[in-house]
Amino acid sequence: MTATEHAAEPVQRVVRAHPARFEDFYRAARPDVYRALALTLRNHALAAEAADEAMARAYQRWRTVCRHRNPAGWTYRVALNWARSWLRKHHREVGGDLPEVVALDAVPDPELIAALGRLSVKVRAVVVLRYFLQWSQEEVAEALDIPLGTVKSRTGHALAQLRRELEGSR
Amino acid sequence: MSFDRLERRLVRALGETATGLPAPAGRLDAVITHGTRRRRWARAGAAMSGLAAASVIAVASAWAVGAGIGPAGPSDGAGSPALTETTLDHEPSVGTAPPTTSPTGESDVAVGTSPPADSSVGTAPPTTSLTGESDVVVGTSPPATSPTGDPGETVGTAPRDDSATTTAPPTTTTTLALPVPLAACPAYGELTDDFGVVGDGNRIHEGIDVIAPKGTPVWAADGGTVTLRTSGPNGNAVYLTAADGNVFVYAHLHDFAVADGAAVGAGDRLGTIGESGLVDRPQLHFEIRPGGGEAIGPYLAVTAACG
Repeated sequence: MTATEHAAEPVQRVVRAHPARFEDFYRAARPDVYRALALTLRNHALAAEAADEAMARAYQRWRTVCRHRNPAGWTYRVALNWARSWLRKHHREVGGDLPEVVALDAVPDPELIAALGRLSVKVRAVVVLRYFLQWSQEEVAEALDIPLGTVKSRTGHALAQLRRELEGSR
Repeated sequence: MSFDRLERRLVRALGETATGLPAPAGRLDAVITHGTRRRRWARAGAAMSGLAAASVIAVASAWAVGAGIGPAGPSDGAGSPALTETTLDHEPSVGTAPPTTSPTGESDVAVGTSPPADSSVGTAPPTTSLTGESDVVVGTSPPATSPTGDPGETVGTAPRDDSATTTAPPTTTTTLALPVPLAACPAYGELTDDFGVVGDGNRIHEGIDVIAPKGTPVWAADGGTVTLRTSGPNGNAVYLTAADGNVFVYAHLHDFAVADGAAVGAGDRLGTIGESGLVDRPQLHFEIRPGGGEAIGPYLAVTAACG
């Protein structure tokens, strides 16, 4: 699959990934949930772990989650919370800084990807759902369980900061 | 949606970066094993009352102190002699080390993690190892605090309560207590472990099915009194209420060997397997409802009792 195809495809695939059987949901949603997490956390191993942890929770309460309007969004949120807890806890216990950025080798647009890394995780989560999975603002709000206005303000904040940084570096 | 130039650049950069990400193999089996365990813990915690639940919490936090944040790391196995827990929250490749998620993970069983959690920052690869695990090894230390409310609120409070999973090292395998152990095998046959799966018409499977020929006997999993029902989707069904309040459901029976309201002992014959009710072949549908409440997954209890 080429990058362009992927960029055009994932939204519908994930949002429609709503089958009654957990196994089908896992196969349909897990790749995009994992990739969205990896882009948000900038750590693919932590993303894979978080995705599967959240998937296990989805399975645990599948009768509730399968009726959710966007189970993939639910899974993403739970995984992100789990990963952030992990980072917080580890940060505290290790007592040092935990580098958040992990090798995203040979990224096509290093300037932009680096600038994205300077956004806070909360803001980056909105950016990833909005521009990688290309969910609507309403879907992002529902997935992250935040008000629509917050999605809009975080998006605006992110775009403004990115513009500033990209223009400033020229 | 109409994106401006920067937004389109974001779409392109994120999409292309995503395609360059390593693609760890799916671990569906491990996820389901882990999820089943979490579900059982949550249910067992919810079904337990007062003192029992409190003691479980005490054990769980003692374990967390011993294994998670105390000087004795989880790899020492020193948290509590009865427990064989390790934590899921191992070192996930901080720094430049590549992840070594096993490509063969699909076929393995447990969400297991091996490295000592606290000693390898920045250097060691995460070595997410999916170690095999026997089905009847059941984790204890149930995080009885696992909330049953809004699923979105599950995380973010106390990660060490939530992130425990079980990896039983081959040398120290311990068979631990089931939420509801059975005193006798309910029936012998081919088990289908599809508890919780949404079936036809959006009904959720509350138990497991034992596939066996018509006329195969079914036995009381525990002593108690029986209630017989002969209508509804369960067909001819026996509801066995044990002395401790646990309810066992035997559905789709061909005939009964007991009378309504009779007292039975563990292992007494209740009837035979049939295809009454909404099924298309002879089978026993078996449920365990701790304290008469919501059903829990009976697979491990049945496999343990039926040997």
